Amino acid sequence: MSTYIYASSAISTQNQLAGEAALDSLVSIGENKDLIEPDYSEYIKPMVIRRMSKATKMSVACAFRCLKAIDYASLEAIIVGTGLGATTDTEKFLKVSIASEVNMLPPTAFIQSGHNSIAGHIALLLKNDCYNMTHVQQGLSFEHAMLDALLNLSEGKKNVLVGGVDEKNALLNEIATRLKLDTKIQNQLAGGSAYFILGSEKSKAIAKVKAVTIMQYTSPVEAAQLFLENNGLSYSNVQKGFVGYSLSFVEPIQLPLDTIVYTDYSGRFFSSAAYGLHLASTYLQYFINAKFALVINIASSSKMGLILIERV
Amino acid sequence: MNVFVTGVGVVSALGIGIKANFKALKCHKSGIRPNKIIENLLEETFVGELPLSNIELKNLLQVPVETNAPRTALLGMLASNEALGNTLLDNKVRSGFIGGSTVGGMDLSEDYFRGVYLEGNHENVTYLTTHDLGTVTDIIAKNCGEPGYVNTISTACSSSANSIMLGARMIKNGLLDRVLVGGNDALSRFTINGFRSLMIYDKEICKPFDKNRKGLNLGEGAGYLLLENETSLTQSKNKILASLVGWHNANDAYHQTGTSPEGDGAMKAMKGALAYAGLQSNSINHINAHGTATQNNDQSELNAINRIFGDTGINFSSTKGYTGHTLGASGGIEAVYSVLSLINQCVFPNINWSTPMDNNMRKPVLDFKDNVAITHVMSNSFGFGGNSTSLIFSKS
Repeated sequence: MSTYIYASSAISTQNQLAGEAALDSLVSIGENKDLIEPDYSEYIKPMVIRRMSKATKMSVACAFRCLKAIDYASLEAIIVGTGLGATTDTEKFLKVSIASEVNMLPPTAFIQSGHNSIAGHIALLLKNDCYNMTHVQQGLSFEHAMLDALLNLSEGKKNVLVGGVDEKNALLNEIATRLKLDTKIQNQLAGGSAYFILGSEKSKAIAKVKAVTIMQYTSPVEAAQLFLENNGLSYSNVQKGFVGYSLSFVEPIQLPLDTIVYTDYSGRFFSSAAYGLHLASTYLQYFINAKFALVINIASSSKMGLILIERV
Repeated sequence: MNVFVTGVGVVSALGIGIKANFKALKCHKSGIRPNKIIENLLEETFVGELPLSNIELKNLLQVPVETNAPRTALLGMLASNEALGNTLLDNKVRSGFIGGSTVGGMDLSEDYFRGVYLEGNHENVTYLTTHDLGTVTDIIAKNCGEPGYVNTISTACSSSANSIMLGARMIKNGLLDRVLVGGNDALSRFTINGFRSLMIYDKEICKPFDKNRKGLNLGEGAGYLLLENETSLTQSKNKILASLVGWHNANDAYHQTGTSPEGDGAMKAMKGALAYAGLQSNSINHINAHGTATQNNDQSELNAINRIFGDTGINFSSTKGYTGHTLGASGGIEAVYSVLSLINQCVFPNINWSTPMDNNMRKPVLDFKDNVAITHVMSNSFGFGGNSTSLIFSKS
């Protein structure tokens, strides 16, 4: 059985991508790491928006944009990968629960702080009673969500929503400074989200998911080569590599193929591989001479995520 | 491919290990008491607390006292050691570890932020490096043989039920041969104050399924199951304790924190698990209910049970009156108790119950019973965000 991407949507520091110039319009992440956000009231009632965490708002908007592309067909699984969940609400409730001298605290931030409030909100807004799951595994949270999506499809589900989301938060920057993380990491800390609808019908596809894996590595270049070989390919078959670095610093890798470092544009966050996949699938959509794209997420000093996609 | 349970490990307010937990469950002995280890609460609070400090836990585990390991990880290490016994999660077979948690390293994060907010002291900033759930899972995985697949599920109170379900599905689909599943959560001021802010925290010991129930008590602990297929068993030579035969995950899609009055999500989870196992509802001998003792949960869970089991009597009990609600750990701890019911052919009572609800006369099991024929046990876990999961364990 093959897996296809039907729809893809991201909220990031970059403009919406379209056309052959998509990759040329990317702007390096610099001082300004503000997200380019939609008008959330297009998707969510104002009363509800006010209480939602940023992670949930981004996720709901991406989910609705993806759904539009498949004419709002019903989803049979909702799967979210997030490294830290709603950090802003977590910090907010931590602060009041530590500093407050009174017993009765407002519960809103506590309710929003749960990692699964994101997937739960999507289900609630869609009145969707299907499989609902949240994976939280540092820099590999999105790959774990993808592997679960593939598992759901092999179990016979159709229209699986899967995404990655993390929030940018001033506190994270402060902590990174106090922990004396490498300045490159400090300067690239960001947030964002990207969601996809996956299914097994080629006719609806914008790209094919050839393989997803998590590997231990000593040499990332050799590990990726092994991954390609396991899929009957070599570096020469792949037109572009999309490389991302997570929150622990590692030396830049040099792949023997044309490469974009997507975290130089999206910034670094635990689930940034979702943005890498969004960029890679956009690339395959518009560059008709490209057949394969490889997303490599250097998640830590010993583990990496790999996603190989193919033109349809 | 069958999914066998070959190891169980548990830590809760009832003590460390299967033996201590079984003894307390059998003797109607609740572990819920006024807080002792967790400090800086605004008032005395009834909690299901393991009465050992982090230093005492580190000594038990023979971990250097200066190790940066949050309480959630220490509880998890104790329970995972018991569940694994001599079995390793190494690369001799395809091995995995899937944790389930909601607070992760929150206890150390709170210590750091107390310093910051109350004294402007940032010196414990490294405490935050173990804040996230994945890092806590990694600490335990390193203690278990560093398996290739390491993941964490966080779906509120159903986190470890979902980690168990994911592990079972991965075995069933031929992706893993051996996987340690379940979850862990320590008590934290964050969650205690959170449930207080929702006004569902009982000032005394909770009363699951009782008409006069006033809410939950939080607890802490960890519960893990070692799941193996035939390939893994050939290598480990472990004894089969039970089989995991049914599972289903559904969403209530009703409210962010509350469950639907008729228990739609709960009903779908139970119904789906029965369908997957190929069992009729009358095959279930006992339900380890979610039974948190909140007005909302117990009402909707019983309504859902009525919808599945009709007018027939069904043995059910909640063990939350013993352990408190251990959040992300509860599905794991209660899965262990369900397996203990199968191994010992017994059912554990629902303590602190005296009066049936007004609109639902079902009465939980009130006395410890052994020498009963238990073939199939259902374990329910329902959480915020509508997450509802049911598991079915069978006698091997």
